Amino acid sequence: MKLKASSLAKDMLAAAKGPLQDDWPQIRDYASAEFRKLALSIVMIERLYLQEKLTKTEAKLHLRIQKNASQTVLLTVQGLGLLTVERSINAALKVVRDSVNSALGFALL
Amino acid sequence: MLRLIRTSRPLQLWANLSSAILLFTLTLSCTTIELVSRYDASTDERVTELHKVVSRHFRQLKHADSDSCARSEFDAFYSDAADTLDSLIVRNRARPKNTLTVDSLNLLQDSLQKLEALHAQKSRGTCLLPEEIEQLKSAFDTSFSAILKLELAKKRGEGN
Repeated sequence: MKLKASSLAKDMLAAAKGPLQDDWPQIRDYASAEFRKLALSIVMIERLYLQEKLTKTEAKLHLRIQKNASQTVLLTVQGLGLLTVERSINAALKVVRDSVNSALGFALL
Repeated sequence: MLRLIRTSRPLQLWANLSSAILLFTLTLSCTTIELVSRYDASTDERVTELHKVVSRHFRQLKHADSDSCARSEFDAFYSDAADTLDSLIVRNRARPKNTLTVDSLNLLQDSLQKLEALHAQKSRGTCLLPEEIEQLKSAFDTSFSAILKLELAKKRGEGN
């Protein structure tokens, strides 16, 4: 048997790690930039309320809209994370398929 | 009775192991797995179009005077935007593994309803302040951008 469990596992891990290492910095930078903007907006709304340019009801409505935007960013981060995990799993599965088929000499998988 | 129990346990173990091996082999034989729904061009186009409409609304509000800024002057915008969102939500609910986009669209729908309520709060002759409009536009831009970012990512590198 040509296949070795330890080498196969090592190759799978290397393949899976790639997408995770490549994608996370971009996801983190995107989320950071958006949350910074949202934080500034929330501070501005508070300032308008304290200057009595907004009523309490108006301030609450504004904050609700900002909160919804924050949650939407979080949902997107979650989605991008899932897509990254998907790529990792598929990369590892490809290693297994290629290794098994190569060891056997025909396309079993 | 005891003999039956003794012989059935190995059989049960063998059945479980066989199922596990079969499932593992079937998993490996699948081409790829998908954790999130696929890209939908219609959603991409309609969300982009809705963003244009909402941006135009904020631009109109910014330039409106005290006679033309009342909520009642913008009936068409609020009802058309609500209809577009309803339709987008229905479409996206029908797609499998698409909860994140559906939840995002529901949040956008809530934001639009809150915007309408905020607009209606202003008494006659009082408009939304420029600073308010700026923050609102920023929040809506963030929401739209997030929805589109996820949708485009679903292309998975194909035809970007």
